[in-house]
Amino acid sequence: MANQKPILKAEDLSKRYEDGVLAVDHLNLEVHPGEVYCLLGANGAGKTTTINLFLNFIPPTTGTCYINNIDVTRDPLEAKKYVSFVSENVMLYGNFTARQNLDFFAKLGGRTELSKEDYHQVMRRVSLQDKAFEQRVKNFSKGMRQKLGISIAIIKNAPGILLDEPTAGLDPKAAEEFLEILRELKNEGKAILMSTHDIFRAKEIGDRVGIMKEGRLVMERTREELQYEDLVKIYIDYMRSEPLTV
Amino acid sequence: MIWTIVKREMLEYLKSAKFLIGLAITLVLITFSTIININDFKQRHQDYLNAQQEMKSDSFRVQVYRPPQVLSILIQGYDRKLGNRIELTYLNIPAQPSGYMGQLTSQHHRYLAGFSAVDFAFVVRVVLSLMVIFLAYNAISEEKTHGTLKLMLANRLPRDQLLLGKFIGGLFVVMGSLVISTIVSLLIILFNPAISLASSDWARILGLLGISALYLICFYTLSLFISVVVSRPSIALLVLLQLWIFLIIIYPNLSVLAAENLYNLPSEQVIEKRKETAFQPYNEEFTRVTRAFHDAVEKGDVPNELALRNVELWSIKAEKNYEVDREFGNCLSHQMNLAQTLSILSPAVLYDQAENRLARTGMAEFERFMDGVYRHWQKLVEWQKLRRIDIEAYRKTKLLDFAYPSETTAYGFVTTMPQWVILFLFSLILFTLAYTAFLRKDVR
Repeated sequence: MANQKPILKAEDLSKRYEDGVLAVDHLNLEVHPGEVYCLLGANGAGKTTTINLFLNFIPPTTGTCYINNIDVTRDPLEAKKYVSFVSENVMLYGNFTARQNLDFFAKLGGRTELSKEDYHQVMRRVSLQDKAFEQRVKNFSKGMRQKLGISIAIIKNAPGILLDEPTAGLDPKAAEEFLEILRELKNEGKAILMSTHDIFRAKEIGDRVGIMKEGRLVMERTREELQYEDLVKIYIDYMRSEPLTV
Repeated sequence: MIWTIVKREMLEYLKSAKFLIGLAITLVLITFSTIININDFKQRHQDYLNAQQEMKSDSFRVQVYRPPQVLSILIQGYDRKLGNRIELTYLNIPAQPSGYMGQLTSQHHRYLAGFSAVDFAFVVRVVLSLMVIFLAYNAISEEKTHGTLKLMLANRLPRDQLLLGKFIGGLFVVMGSLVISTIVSLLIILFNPAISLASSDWARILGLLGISALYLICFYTLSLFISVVVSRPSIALLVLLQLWIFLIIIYPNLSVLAAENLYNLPSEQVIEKRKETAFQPYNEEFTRVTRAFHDAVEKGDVPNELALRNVELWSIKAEKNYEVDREFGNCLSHQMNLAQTLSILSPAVLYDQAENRLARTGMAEFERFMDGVYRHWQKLVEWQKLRRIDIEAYRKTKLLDFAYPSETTAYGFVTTMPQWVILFLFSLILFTLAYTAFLRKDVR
């Protein structure tokens, strides 16, 4: 993995908001093809801001985000070709069926050639039941919506995937099914950056795990390193430690 | 990419309950109001024809009637509200028509005034504009709260294309609703054999459709702008409803109040005084001649010169009175114009002005009628004078039928140009504001 070029890369990335809050502080990270990078941290640690910076929803104060080696700030539209996004609690279009939602976002993602069967295949892959394909999304549970959200990311077939707390609010079974899909995507060579509060699942799925505190990446461990360390203890120790700004 | 957004937007609107309910209300109102207004027009037209047939004009008294406008079926304007009958003598020119033509003699049942107040203009001005607000208040804000805005912009989709796509998609739906309403109205009119529309009427109907479209676009761009700048859909709806009430009800009424205070009208006493002053130079002669005339009538021998001078003085008195009344009418018009100028920022006022003009149911058409009445009265006076000058010539001539020139369609369009331009500018400015705000919007 390390000898491959990273799909997602943050280089000395900082973001200070207008109210003076430093949300991301000189962040450096890389996510390679076939790798899942989990960003852990408390609320306000800067995880979501990092994802927003990758998607160019906000401009960085300093530093650069690269997607597939394209500077996101310089050429955001070109960079977005190579990344999919799944957010925490996407409602999607309630009056549309699952297939119609998928069709719309697939077209926005540049996939205009797909057939109804292609959509059905992707939805089956994320374990959505066949009867749900033509149901309105407003009747879906959160788990079903998240599955549809990941199928939107899958259908774009981009090399990078950004996930912003995708398992938040899911029941254990739904969360486990979700991780299974991520494993498949990882095996297909996707570079996945996932922000999460869920330490256990981060350890389970992450090839690398980073802990963010007050915008800084205060720790980074590989899966191998974590075999000999207790991630929960490390996380709690960092959370309990003195504020970095003091 | 933009057409993907347009298609989705249209589908979203067409599937929404608010659109279906809005369209249903619109179609029910349009259907019933058109049927009622057609019947009302037919009755008024029949009353007009009957009145002309039974006209009790004689050499002394002449009655003139204002015909109802066929487009009052769609845009009632002032057509029903202002009187339609005027009785002229050389002694007097009334400044206002006396009541609703045929009201006293017509055998037809009159519909309730409340029902007749609903017309095509009302449906567009109130119902469709509200529907537009309910459709577009959450165009952007709900996408943000539902997370779909981020999901869309995570793709290779420029923000300007997203906004433009949403604008075009919504516009198609709004225009579709307007066109469907218009077609329903026109079909009801066309299937009624008693109503015939001239080619100029069709041109005016196209104009009405155009100005209605501009009016609705104004509210659509306003809703889009508020939806961009206000993040919570419920707050956006609240703001828009308050703006709607302000622009359609409060602001125009405040302008009328302001105009009444800024531009005072003369009192009745002042008007009477002015009339007396205007006729002052003739007063002495008038008293002398009328007395002599009465004496001569009693004796049974009225010299032609005396009779002629009597007509002349009475007509001068009538004309002087009329001039003062017209001056008062002009003051009233100035006050109205001032109110309209003060309420120039209200799309509803601009829309009303343009549609009344295009449908020929506004004050301009009424003033044309009154000008025609005055010219007809002048002919009547000349004819009466001829009777005293040359009785043979008088017997050979007849007073021509009353007629007044209608405004041409082209002129109607030209006079409404300011309203077209201002409504277009409003839409353009609001869209530009929405566009600029959306490019800078924090989509997180």
